[in-house]
Amino acid sequence: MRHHEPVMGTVVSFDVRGGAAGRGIESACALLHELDWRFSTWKPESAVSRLRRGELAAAEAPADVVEVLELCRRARALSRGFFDPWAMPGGVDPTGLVKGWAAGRALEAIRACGAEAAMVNAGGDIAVFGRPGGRRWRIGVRDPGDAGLLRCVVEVEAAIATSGAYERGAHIIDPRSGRPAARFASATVVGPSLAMADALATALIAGGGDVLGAVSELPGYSACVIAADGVLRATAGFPAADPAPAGPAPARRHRRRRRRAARR
Amino acid sequence: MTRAQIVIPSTLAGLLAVLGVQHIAGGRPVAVIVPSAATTGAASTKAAGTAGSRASQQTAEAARTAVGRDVTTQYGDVQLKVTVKGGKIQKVAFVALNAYDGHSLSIDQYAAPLLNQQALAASSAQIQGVSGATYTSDAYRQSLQSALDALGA
Repeated sequence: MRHHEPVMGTVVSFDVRGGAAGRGIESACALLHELDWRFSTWKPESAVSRLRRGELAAAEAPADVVEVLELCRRARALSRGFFDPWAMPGGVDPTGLVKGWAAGRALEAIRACGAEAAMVNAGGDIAVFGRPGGRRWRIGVRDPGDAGLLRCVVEVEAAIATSGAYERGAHIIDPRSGRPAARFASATVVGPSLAMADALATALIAGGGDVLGAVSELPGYSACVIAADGVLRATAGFPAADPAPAGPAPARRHRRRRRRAARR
Repeated sequence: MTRAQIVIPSTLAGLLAVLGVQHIAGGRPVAVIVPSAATTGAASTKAAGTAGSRASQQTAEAARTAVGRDVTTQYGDVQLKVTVKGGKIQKVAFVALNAYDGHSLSIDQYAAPLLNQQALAASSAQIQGVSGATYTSDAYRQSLQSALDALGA
């Protein structure tokens, strides 16, 4: 069953296989709207907005806000300081990790309802579990210059997140300079946690090679980056897959059709 | 085309070839051609496989290598080496990337260029989802993910 839900300033897409898919999607959507109310930096009454204005002490914040801030601290350390919600203008801003974290929570809600396999795609950051049709989830990585093209296909076990300035402009701030930075046109991180993959992908855009070294040393995580000149590079263990594996590949059918047309 | 050929000691050349980068100390872009015995050998083997009299003529002809002028990118100066044989481009390789700040070099230390890196149409790939930078609700309508969502029941 598929569904898409506008929430958190983007659209979240669901692909759920097996029983109780409808119930799973319903509970996941309810959770996402609830989390949006708590974590939005746009809604003045949200817990995070009150935290940013200093009206709410971190120690008194709701348990999941405390959990997210703890994850932010870990992401800051793992990214060598290039993901730093405390260095953002206007007060602490965990946005770079919240969307991935929330999508991970939504996926758990679907799993708890009894689905066999599911994908939650929060505006380009994806959490999955299970094996649809007995195979791993196959996710394309978008070309930063062309919304209609893919640069690679990845077989994902748990999470994949991509960052870049091509959708929302130069919005990623280098915490060290305080200015927008784009070391890569696009950065993708694959790993066990979508919250961490989301934060690391953002850090790669701000920090470039330094962060790439950190990600390549992190157990379970790998990355691919696309430079401004279009060159795609991947760290060891990045699960890039054959774009069109066994079975009738549409590309081949097209070629045959073209050949037939040429004969006429 | 002029050939600015600088022969560098083989151990250093080997190391740089592994990194896929020719980084010259001092940061200035320099045209470098890796001693091309291996490239020429591989090229002749390939050409020998093609049929016809023109192909055999080509086999006798040596592969020629030229280095293009450096192109400035956001990260540094990039140069390409092109190997031409019998009027056809046989190989395009990345020979120089002189990063302004050492960043591009560190990128290549951790991540190798992926082979076969043409962009592909989503219709020719078997995928269930698309990962990309966060789109707005408006941009979603133009996204590949929205097309995939529309395909499902």
